[in-house]
Amino acid sequence: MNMRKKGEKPFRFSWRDLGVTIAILAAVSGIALLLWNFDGSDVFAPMLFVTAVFLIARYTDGYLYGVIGAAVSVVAVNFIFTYPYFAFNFTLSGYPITFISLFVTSVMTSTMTTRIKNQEKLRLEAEKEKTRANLLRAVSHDLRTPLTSIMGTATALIENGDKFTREQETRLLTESRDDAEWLLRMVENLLSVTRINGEGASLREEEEAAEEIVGEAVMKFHKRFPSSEVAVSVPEELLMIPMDAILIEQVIINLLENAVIHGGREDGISLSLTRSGDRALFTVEDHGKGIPENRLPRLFEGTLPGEDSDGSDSSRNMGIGLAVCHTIVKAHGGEMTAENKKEGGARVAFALPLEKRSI
Amino acid sequence: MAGKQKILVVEDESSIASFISAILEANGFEAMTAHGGREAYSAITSHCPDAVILDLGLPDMDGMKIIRAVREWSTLPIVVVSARTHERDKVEALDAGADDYITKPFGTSELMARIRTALRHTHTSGGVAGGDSGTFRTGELTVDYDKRRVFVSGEDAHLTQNEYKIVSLLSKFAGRVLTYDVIIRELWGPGAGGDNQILRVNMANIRRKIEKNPAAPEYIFTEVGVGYRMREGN
Repeated sequence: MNMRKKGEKPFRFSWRDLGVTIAILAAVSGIALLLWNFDGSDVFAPMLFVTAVFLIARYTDGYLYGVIGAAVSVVAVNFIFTYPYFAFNFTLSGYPITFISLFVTSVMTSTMTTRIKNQEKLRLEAEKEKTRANLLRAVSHDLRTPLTSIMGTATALIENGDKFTREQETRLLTESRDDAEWLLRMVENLLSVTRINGEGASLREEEEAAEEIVGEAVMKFHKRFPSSEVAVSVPEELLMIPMDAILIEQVIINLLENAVIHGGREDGISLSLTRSGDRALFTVEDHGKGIPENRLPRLFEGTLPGEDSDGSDSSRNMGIGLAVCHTIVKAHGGEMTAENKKEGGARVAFALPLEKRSI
Repeated sequence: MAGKQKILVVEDESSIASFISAILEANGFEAMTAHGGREAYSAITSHCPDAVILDLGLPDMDGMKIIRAVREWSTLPIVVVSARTHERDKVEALDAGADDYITKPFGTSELMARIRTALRHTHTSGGVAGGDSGTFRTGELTVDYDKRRVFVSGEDAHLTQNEYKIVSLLSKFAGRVLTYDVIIRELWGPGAGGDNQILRVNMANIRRKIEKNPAAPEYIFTEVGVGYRMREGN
């Protein structure tokens, strides 16, 4: 939406573009003057300035600078580089023809450049929109089940509370709590995504000690799955990574939870942090059921749950969780991969650059 | 102790206020509630609660203002409740004088632990548990304030001067979070400011000396974006 405002303003002022214009014109004038002093001929001057106008139109936004370049070029060619030198020549061949050809060059190039840039923006925007729509659809589908069960439990306890045994009551309430916890995590995930995709929002990246984030994530994960076992390993060297700590922590927790929920086993999970070149690699492995082969190719796209034939409760969350993780990692300039191990179980890894990216 | 300790719950969402009160009462405290900043401030001055649980997202008065106003005349323990969307506010609240924070959603045990720690620290002199002598023990870790050394399972951990200072500072406030700024100011003086990189490096070294696995710490926990917290003493 905001790209339209940006891309279609043909006469937007920018210091960068002004700089580019002046630099190109200065360079071309310099070359022309040099050649002129060298052999005294002036035939190449109009050609050089056509090139200049073309370059300006190509490397600036909108029409403004191309047109300015064309006007300056006409004056320069007419005044300096054509006979009579250092005087204006208003004959038919001298003035209008040069002007028209330069003007046409500038406008045509600007139009084409702008159109190409806009198409690229539109394509990216459409892609983002698609991911967002997919996520929303998956989420609203997913939120219904736990909400229905919580409401049902509450109603049952209010209306027939005296007919349940203490154990039944505890079981119902525990399930409700788990459902509510799940809902909350889902909402947190959604908040993270809006934080990345939101208008003008950017990541709050700060240098963080990777091992601290790993430690904290594992601790929070243990609070939710007290009986789970995670083998954690970090390198001897302290890795400092520019990141939005809250989001990366969430990625790690999501991956660990997936290992338990979808792997189907609480033991044999490992989380390792290693350095590979200029990147830090976080790897979560489990010895569970692995990822269904048919889901692997589109695992990070937030595909609709319930496409699975079993349609079980455990299939929810994975699509959204991983799509969110992927979005977060990509926003950090990192990469994420998922595969099934030969010996069974899944391996999901993501790499983050150790150095701040220059944007 | 004669009579129940009074806790003021400042929270604008009545459903959350009522469940926090229920937890407090089930744990032997007397709970009072206030739904807005003004109401809270007058309750603090007229009823003198033993501790305050303060939600940062109040509609009428900034929670931060209450903390600053109370801190002008009282060391009353304040535990701040923050939601995920107020991540940065909690650091500001801690630096403004709040004793600790807890993030929604929290469990009963977590809430009670925070309140008990906050209450304990004000009941010992100057808010510091243990003076500059004696020892602090948690698990297998011992901080010996006389020898200025830290032992793990009886073995000297060979901490450097700065590392010892960090560990002993955290141990004196065990159970409570200390922000990066507080630790840096305490160690390198008020001029040090801003950069907490040195602190991270020191902490990484400390962990490699006292923890079995630096990524699964048992003694010093990280509060991401806020600071560090040492495990409660034995």
